[in-house]
Amino acid sequence: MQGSSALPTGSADTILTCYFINFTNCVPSYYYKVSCLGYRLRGLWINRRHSSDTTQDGSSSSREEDGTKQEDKIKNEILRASLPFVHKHGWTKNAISEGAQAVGYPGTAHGLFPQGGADLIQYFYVTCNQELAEALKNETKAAAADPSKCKQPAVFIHDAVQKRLCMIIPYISKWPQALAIMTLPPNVPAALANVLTLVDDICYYAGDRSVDFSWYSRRVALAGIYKMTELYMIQDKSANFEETWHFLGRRIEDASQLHNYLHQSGEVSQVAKEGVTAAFITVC
Amino acid sequence: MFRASLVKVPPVRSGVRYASRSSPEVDSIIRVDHAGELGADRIYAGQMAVLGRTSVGPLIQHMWDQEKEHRAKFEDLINKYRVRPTALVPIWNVTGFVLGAGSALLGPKAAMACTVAVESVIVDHYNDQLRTLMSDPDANKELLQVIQKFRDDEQEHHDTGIDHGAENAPFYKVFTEGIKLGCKAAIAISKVT
Repeated sequence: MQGSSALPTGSADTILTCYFINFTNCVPSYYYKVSCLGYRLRGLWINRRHSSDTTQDGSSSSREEDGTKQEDKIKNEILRASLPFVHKHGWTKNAISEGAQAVGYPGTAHGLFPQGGADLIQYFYVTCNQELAEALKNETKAAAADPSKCKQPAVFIHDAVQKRLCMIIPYISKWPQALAIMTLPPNVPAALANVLTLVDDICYYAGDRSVDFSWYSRRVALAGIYKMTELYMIQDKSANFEETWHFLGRRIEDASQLHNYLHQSGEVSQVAKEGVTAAFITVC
Repeated sequence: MFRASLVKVPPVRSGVRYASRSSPEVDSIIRVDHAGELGADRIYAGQMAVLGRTSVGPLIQHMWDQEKEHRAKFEDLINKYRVRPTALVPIWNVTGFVLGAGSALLGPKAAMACTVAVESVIVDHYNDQLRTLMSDPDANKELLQVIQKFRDDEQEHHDTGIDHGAENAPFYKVFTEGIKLGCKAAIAISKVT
């Protein structure tokens, strides 16, 4: 219903639409009206903001740039303020609405976020990823300055994944909903980009400098471990998520064993390759 | 100007992706160049496996050493700019070696014709990239210097091939055009994967 931009004009159309609305249990019609209202208010608000910009400075390109920047700033402000309401409303437009009111915008400002809850989850995910990347960067710097702080890659990865999962704990009761929303087809590209950025950061700061296919296999393996542990975590009832950290430890141990095995068989295939090359040279 | 020393400059910080990532253009340039140098390294390895102990051996060895240097430089750059390496490393490994060894089996002149074909495509490709990077010479200073130097090396290899009778190889025209087509396809593939 959201997508039908033209309102029905003819009476037959109206009846058909009414049937359709009744058929879909009235919820979409309410949803449609609310989102329509939100859209109109949003249009008014943006128009006003643009006109006030016009009076302030002359250059159109820089004005547009500033406008986008300011819009992003306001959006981030609203989303940040919405996070505390996630406990009450889940990852929904209602949370954004309350968040907007909390920082002094009208509740209808949720119309700024056409994806609704997905936008809020995306904001949360990206901020957490950036926070973790910053922390890992500082940790690597500290380890470079003081070799006693240097960790084994497996330990480093374990700690990094644990640190990232700990950021979810405040929202753990609503996190299954977030996972479900991010699995919807329109959100899949963003969800994949998020998790791949996360594992890329962890691998990079853990000291992975590979430039061949293992670049991919390491990241995919770590993404698998991360997602598995995340799913384990949302069902974990133990104190301080002890069971989750044990689960994570076991998965990383498995991966290290597999890695060692592949590494050794890689050496074997290297010997085989040299043998073939030697035979090739002899024949020629 | 082309031989200026490789000054270290901080990575390019443009684009609105996550902080500390390079722009998509730089990303693609480094990835495709690394794949290309890897392929070149393997081609010379294949030629050396066949022609290593003939009169052109030392010549090919010299060019091979330069390609190894190029490859190492791009491996550094991949790590420095945090670029995703090409996913097709195993394929370029095998294809490069087969192309090198295959052309060398047709004789030293065919091997030189192969070199000429590959290097002429690479020189054009580097020139295209230099034009792209010149849109912001200050931000891309390091890459510009590296690619200019490598472009000159590749041009030298191309000229060496011509000097050593590449044009006298059997079916020179068909042979080089076929290889050029293959190289262009490989470049197009490496830009995205």
